[in-house]
Amino acid sequence: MTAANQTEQFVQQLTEHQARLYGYVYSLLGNHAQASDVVQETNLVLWRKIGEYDPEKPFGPWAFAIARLQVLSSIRDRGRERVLIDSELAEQLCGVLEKEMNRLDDYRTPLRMCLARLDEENRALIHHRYFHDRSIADIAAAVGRSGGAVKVALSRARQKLFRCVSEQLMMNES
Amino acid sequence: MKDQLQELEHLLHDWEAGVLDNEGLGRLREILRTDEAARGHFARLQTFNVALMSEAGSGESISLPLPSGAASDRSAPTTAAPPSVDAAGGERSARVVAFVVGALAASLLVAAFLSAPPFGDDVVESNEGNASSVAIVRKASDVEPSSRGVAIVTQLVGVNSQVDGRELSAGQSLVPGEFRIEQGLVQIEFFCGATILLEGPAELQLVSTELARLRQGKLRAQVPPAAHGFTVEADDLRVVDLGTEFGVSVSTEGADVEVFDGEVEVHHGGSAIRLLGQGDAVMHDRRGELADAIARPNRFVDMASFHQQLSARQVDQLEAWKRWTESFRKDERLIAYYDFNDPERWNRRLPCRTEPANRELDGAIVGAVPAVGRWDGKNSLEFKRPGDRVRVSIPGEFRSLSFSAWVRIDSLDRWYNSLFLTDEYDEGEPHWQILDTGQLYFSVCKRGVKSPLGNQRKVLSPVFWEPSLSGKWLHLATTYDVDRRLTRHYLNGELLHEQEIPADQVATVTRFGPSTIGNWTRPNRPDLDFAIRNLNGSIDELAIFSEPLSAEEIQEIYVHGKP
Repeated sequence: MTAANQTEQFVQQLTEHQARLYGYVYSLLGNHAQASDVVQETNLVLWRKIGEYDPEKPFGPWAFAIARLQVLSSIRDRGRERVLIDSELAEQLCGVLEKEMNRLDDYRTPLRMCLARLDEENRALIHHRYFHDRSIADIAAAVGRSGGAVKVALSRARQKLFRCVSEQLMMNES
Repeated sequence: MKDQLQELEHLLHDWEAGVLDNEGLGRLREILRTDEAARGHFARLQTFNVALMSEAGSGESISLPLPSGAASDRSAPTTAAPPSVDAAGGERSARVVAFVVGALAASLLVAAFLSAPPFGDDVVESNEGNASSVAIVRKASDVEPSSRGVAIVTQLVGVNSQVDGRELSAGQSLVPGEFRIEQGLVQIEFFCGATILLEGPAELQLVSTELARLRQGKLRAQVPPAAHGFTVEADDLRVVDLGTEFGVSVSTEGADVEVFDGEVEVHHGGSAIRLLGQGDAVMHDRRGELADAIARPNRFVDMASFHQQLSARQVDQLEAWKRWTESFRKDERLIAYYDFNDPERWNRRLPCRTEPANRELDGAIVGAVPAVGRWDGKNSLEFKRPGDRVRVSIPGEFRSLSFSAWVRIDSLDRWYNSLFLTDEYDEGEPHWQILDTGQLYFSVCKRGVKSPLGNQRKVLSPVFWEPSLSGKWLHLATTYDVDRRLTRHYLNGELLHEQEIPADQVATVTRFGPSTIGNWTRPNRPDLDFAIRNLNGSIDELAIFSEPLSAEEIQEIYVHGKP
């Protein structure tokens, strides 16, 4: 395999793993801005270590291992800044998170099916908030409810959606 | 145990909302530390969250303020080139890196999205100026996507009436209630399968899918076997069809019924039911008496001559439109113009009709097949399946833009239903589409915007489409005025919405490159399943201009093109 080919394959793998890596890192840090920084750092580290890349071996575990180190060092560096998960707990969680994030693509179809099944009101809430990028305040103004009420309704809608997706996933497993 | 999982959900939710105190955070960690099931649950919750964000973020509806500028310039990151790449591969790698960074940027959509205050109430005050685009969010429970329609207008000639404040046109579905025309002829198909030809002036009350009440005027009904039982009431008469073609007329003198073919039952108060056969006629006068009458079938316009009138008129309109486009296509402001008028089904080349001609702008038809356009004898291109599209490639850089299209929307199946989308969504690239909510949606990508007011270059019209418009030809137009920082949406020649765009969110240089009509093509996305944005409907004329057209000019396009 030529170097160029190998690079291309590496790039493809890295690209394919972006969403999972992001999810993994975000799950532990609980902060989107921090998570995107850490994923970028992880990408750079992976890129620099391209020499260690072996197309014969699965890319995921390698990438996740490096992401884990980056997360741990980020937690350490944050010092007093609040993070969701401390280092000790991160070690406890990383295995199960990696496993679940590898199934990220499995979530997509159930998610779409469940979105379609949500009643109109809940579906509209989710849509306006996440798909059309409307702020809680916007939605509240539009439906004539308070921001607090929309927040609660949105949280319920998301919970409903999560239940539905979980059920679908379980059905797929069995 | 289950309570603990629920508690975890609540704590996590509070964290996301930025309202979790230290005590709560401690509790969250404690649950995770001590409960293996909770750790599994946590992983599923977070994976779900990320799936939801990335599903939502798959559109460009999310602005992209890149953190620390690292990925904002696709050519810059070559500094991160790997240590061991031979010279020949160097340039290639640089491109690859650029692509990775592009892909990373895409993955960061999620981040950019939520790094704005996710559940912030603090934005309430700042959004007042934006109220016009917000107020149109329809309250989901208000509108049930069902139709109360009982019939549909399929053809009309010489009719100049309005329904719901809109000009009556083919494809209009009719709900129970009064229907009135002053003049002309209209063909109405009832959902039971009966067809009537109503001649103006006429007044008809639509009652159900198989019952109508003629108050004034003349109608001819054609009732195939499947629609037996279709009933027309006129004065005190009930005319129940038994599989036939018949005419009913109501005037100041009374009501007439005449059978051209088959049989009908005529019910009249308490009297016995009269059975009328072919060539029979009865007259019900103002004194309430029912008497035999002489059949005068010529009083009723028959379908054949109606269709002759219709096609003559269509030909006239089509010819008038063709004449008009002769000068239209020479407009120097036209960037591209497709009239979709190529009758050959398997000619997969969509010619650009600007003059002087530029074959480079011809489109490639994929999947979509020709269908009847605004007039018989004029084609459109029908987009139905997820793969259907037209590929075009438009070089050059522009400033202001205008889009104009005749579109027949059958339904809005996708969250985003494409009219015209550039493949990528880079600086200066426009996306013109319709949301499933029935709103026209236009944006030109502008990178690196960090406005406290959020993204305001996406311009959403109020809801203009609803299922009752399904199958009707609509003229849609959008203008993007760089100098006045103004985007305007038009429907059927009328201004639908206008919105100013903050100066820092206006992309002053616009461009297209590889683009798609009626769908979205994203060649570089590994997750291709995101990109289904096919229109379910037809397009019959699409023009793109390098200037913002005036309201008068949009009106002119509408008037000359309306079927």
